[in-house]
Amino acid sequence: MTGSLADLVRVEDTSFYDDRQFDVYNRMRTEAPAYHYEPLDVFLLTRMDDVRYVSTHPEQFSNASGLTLNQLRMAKAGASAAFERFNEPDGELVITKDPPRQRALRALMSGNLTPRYLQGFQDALDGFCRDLLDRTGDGAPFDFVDSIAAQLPLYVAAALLGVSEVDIPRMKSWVAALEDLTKVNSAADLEEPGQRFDELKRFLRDQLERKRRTPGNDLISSFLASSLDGSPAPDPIVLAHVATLMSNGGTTRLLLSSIADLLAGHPDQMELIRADPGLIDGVIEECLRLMPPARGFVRTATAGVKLAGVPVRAGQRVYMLYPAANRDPGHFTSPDSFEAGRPQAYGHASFGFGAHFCLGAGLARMEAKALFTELISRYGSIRLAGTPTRYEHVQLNGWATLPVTLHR
Amino acid sequence: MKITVDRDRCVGSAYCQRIAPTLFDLGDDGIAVVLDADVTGPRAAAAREAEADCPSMAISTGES
Repeated sequence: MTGSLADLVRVEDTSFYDDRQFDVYNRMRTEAPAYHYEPLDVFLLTRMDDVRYVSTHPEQFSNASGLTLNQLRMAKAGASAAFERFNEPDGELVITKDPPRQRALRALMSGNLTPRYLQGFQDALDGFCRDLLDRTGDGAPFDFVDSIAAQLPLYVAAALLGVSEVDIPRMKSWVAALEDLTKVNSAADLEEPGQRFDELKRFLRDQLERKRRTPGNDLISSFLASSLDGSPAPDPIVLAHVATLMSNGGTTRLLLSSIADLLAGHPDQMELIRADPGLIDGVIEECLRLMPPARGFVRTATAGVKLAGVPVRAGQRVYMLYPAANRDPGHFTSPDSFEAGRPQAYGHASFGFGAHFCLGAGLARMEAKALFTELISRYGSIRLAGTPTRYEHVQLNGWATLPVTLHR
Repeated sequence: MKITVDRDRCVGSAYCQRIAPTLFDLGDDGIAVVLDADVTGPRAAAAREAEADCPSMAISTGES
């Protein structure tokens, strides 16, 4: 690949993120591992070591001043205020805080969303997977995204939060609203998703009242019973975190569709996992590594620091490019190949590292494992039944549509 | 070898439990607990792997 990096690195352009992006990352990793992207005054990090360093030093790299490239774009366009509408006043979202406050908020979330708690939902989850696969015919073409990948996380969210399945179509529109937030091109475009988000908040306030009167065996009820700083967790904080849990079903949708696509493209790996279903864990990790549902996050330097030999001033941003770090040949042998049995399966950056490690990681893996365990117990191959379309998004990565057929 | 988990750093990823289920478990709060802190041989190697893969670098292994 020839040409100057300044011409090739177009991280604000969705068309940049096709298969050619990886050659650009290879050049960045060797020529400029902390590449200064002028239009947004942000350093793009492509080496695993730098991504790990930034993630695990929150005192040097803060989460409190923006997380996505689109937020930086909107700030540059003077539209920061429009963004605030998506935040609950006093909502104190854990991902936008630094330790030590971050730690207290995280304990509120992780204390409820424990692996043991999730185990209690395994039977319900398995049931959803069977139902969804029952509805897609043997050999008949269907859109894997719309029929399965988008549905499963919503059914799971409804069950976990103790919300009626009747509300699932509305939940779907709220997930889309949150994704639009990191996708829009102008402040005016924030108005429509903003209205849907207002509706989500009204819905959740009603749910909080309902659970306060009649607590159930669900996460909203256990958040309401949790304490923060020795007092009951305030409603705005519960609300902000429940909204996050619901809307982050979007990244699980992207993961599930990417796994289906990888298996459709690698019938040999499909045969391997059918012979040894224990390899499904490896398939999930490889998919996370090769096709991370979230491409990266921004941090802000709290003081002057050198990264990959490059001086970064206090207040300047860095952006961790997960798909680049995940193919760093210093960390993964044959980084572009998909190997279910890869020994370094857990080394990828896709759930982040350190204090902000993805709170939903366990849930996402559990959903992926349940779905594909059921799928391979029924079918021997997934075949593309048309041309899939990419999800056009700078931060989020996966398929908008994935037409497939399943065969025994 | 002496295995310790920094409970303030642990983020409950459960990687250690997956990598070395006889050495680590998760408590009711979702935070890792060490089941057997003093190990040698292949189990020490598994503990070092858990230390290297821990996404929040909460595990330390050192000479006992």
